Amino acid sequence: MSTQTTRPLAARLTVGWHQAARPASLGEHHARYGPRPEAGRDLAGAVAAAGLTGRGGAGFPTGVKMRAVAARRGPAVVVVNGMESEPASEKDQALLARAPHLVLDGAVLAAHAVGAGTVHVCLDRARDQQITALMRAVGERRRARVDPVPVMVHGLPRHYVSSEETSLVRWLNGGEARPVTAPPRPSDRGVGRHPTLVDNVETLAHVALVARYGPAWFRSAGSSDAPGTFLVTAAGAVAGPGVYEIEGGTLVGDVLEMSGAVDDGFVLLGGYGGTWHPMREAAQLPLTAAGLRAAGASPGAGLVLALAPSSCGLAETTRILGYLAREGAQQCGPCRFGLPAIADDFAQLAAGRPEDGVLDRLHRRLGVIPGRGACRHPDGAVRLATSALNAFASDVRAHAAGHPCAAFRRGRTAAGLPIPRPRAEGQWR
Amino acid sequence: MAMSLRIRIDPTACTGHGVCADLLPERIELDEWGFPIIQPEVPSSLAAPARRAVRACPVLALRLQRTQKNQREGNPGTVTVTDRRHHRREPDATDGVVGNERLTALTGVVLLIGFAIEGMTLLALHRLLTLHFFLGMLLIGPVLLKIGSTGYRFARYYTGAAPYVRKGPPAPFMRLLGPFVILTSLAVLGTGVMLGVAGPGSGPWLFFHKASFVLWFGCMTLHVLTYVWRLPCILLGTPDGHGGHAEPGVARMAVSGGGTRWLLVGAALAGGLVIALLTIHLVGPWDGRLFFH
Ligand SMILES: Cc1cc2nc3c(=O)[nH]c(=O)nc-3n(C[C@H](O)[C@H](O)[C@H](O)COP(=O)(O)O)c2cc1C
Ligand code: SF4
Repeated sequence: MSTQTTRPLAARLTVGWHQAARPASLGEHHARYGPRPEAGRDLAGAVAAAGLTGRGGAGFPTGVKMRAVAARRGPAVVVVNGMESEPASEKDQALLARAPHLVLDGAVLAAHAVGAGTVHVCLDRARDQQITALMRAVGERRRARVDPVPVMVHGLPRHYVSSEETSLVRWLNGGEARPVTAPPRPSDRGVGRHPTLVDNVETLAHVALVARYGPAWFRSAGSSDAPGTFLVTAAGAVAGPGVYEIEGGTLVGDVLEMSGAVDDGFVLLGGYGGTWHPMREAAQLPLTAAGLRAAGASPGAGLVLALAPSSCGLAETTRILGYLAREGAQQCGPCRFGLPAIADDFAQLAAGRPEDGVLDRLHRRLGVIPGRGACRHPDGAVRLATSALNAFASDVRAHAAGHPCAAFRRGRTAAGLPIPRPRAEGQWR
Repeated sequence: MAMSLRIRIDPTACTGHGVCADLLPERIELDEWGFPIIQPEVPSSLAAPARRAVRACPVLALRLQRTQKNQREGNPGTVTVTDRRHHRREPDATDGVVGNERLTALTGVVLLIGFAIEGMTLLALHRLLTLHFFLGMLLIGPVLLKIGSTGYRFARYYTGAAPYVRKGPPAPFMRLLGPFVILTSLAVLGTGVMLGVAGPGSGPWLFFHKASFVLWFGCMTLHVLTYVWRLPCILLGTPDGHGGHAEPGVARMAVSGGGTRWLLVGAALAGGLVIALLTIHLVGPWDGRLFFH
């Protein structure tokens, strides 16, 4: 993983990263950002005024969520989502590996603001080093007695959907890390039935900065509809893959340029549940929720994935769909049967050996699956598939007529997107 | 104000049985894999078949929600869950923790009442000694049950059972106090038994009984003051167990094993009763002599 800050438009979370080979110690962290301020109860108000939105993918206003949890009676719980299950994403891992105390500051401040007595940090069980490093950071804080609430670090099983917020809550309650039908939402009834604030690690790092420097400072970077800075991961066919910190409102084209993408071809925005676009069109759009909405896209957790010019978009989509189909929690019919079905349709298309009527069937399937799972996982897979049919429309016609493109016949190229190995079955606890 | 009904599905519960689509074809069709595609709004003309469809689901994956629509403003108002039957939940691993907490609380209430009466006998001990002794022996059962249920939590926590670990230990002060509560309780009851067995005038047991009572009373006051205000929430299962109230329309948390908990408390009382009946004759020699000693 390279963490380049060649042309940072603003360095807030990434201050000092280029020289850091290890996590900042508590002393280094305090030297960089100053000590953690005394938590005011109105942190939720400040966060709302700052316009901070969730960085885990959904982009929900963080201040609103904090207020909702704080308004419920009784002690609350804070859950830190550091699972980063999106295969190509590296931003949360990079953040935890460099500035763990910024994230922990944010979690503890949020805990105070919502009246929580415990902070649970959820990490991917397979990332041993990350867990060890974070436990060390937590131990450092315990010895320095900086935190009024206990912070517990947990290693959860690795699946795409195990990082969804209801999965985390279910696991912390002793169950499997699989999504649960909402309502009740975790903010109403979560861990131990207490109101629970689930936030992404990057979101909480920004909370720590808002608490220190205030909402006006936060808005001094970024645009009015996307205030602050954002960590993004650029990957795929780029010369400098890695994590970049950009100001809100930065164009997709700028991210492609700073990461060294060849400027023609296709880009997948938002992650594996995101959307494909011709680079030329996407380049003009700001990488923000508002800026991408008209194009039917979303920045998700800040992913900009370039397709190698020599790769086949349909083949690449087929691989991703197969992965998403395998990674479902196998709980909801439309997800369990629907995702493998569309992955299979795509495989037929990509191979240029489609059964009769496969396109009609595929369109019908894509129409009935969304909105029918307990979580948004199937919706993401359908979004990806639908956008591939649009972006690669001419390829689709050729493949459907039995003429797969040259790229497909050549097979996989080196700059393919990462597809994690199939998981051990049944490891949900 | 107009009432309208909405069908809600728990997709993780649905197994694709398909009876719902047979009973309410106007709103529910099945996809190619046999899972329902639902148009959730139910007009009043379809209310009856919608109810039938909801009831017929063999895995209770469907629910009917009553939505109050304020038509003038056109925004959906409060949502109430109508059919409680369909609010049943599967027991999960947290039930153990919550159930354990409820058993401890339930036994605590029994003991609180018992010891309150026992306390009153102290006011006229020369007349109420038989009652004092009988009740004391009776309470041995519930005291042992309470030690058992807290000991169970203790053991599960230290053997690393996930839900117990995540619930965490009691608050630090209570964690410290706990062993003293147990020791002094056992001491008061034990010296009481010894008083009965040894009979009047022999040995230091009366002194020990009184001394342990004083210590026990101190510990118990702290213990009761800390927990008593949480009792209603734990026992009624409101969401936070800390004075919160259940959400409107959501049934209070039912935790599996409710029958077992009552059975255990009943058995503890019955056991205590047997001890009390078997030992009641021991009080004879003491009668009326306590204060002449
Ligand atoms: C299938 C699925 C996977 C998700 N994976 C992650 C993840 O890896 N990390 C994360 O922070 N949020 C993830 N989320 C979003 C969480 O459910 C939740 O919205 C988020 O943690 C809330 O934090 P935020 O408001 O700070 O973004 C996922 C959601 C879905 C539907
Ligand atoms: S929609 Fe899919 S991933 Fe989500 S809960 Fe249902 S089966 Fe699991």
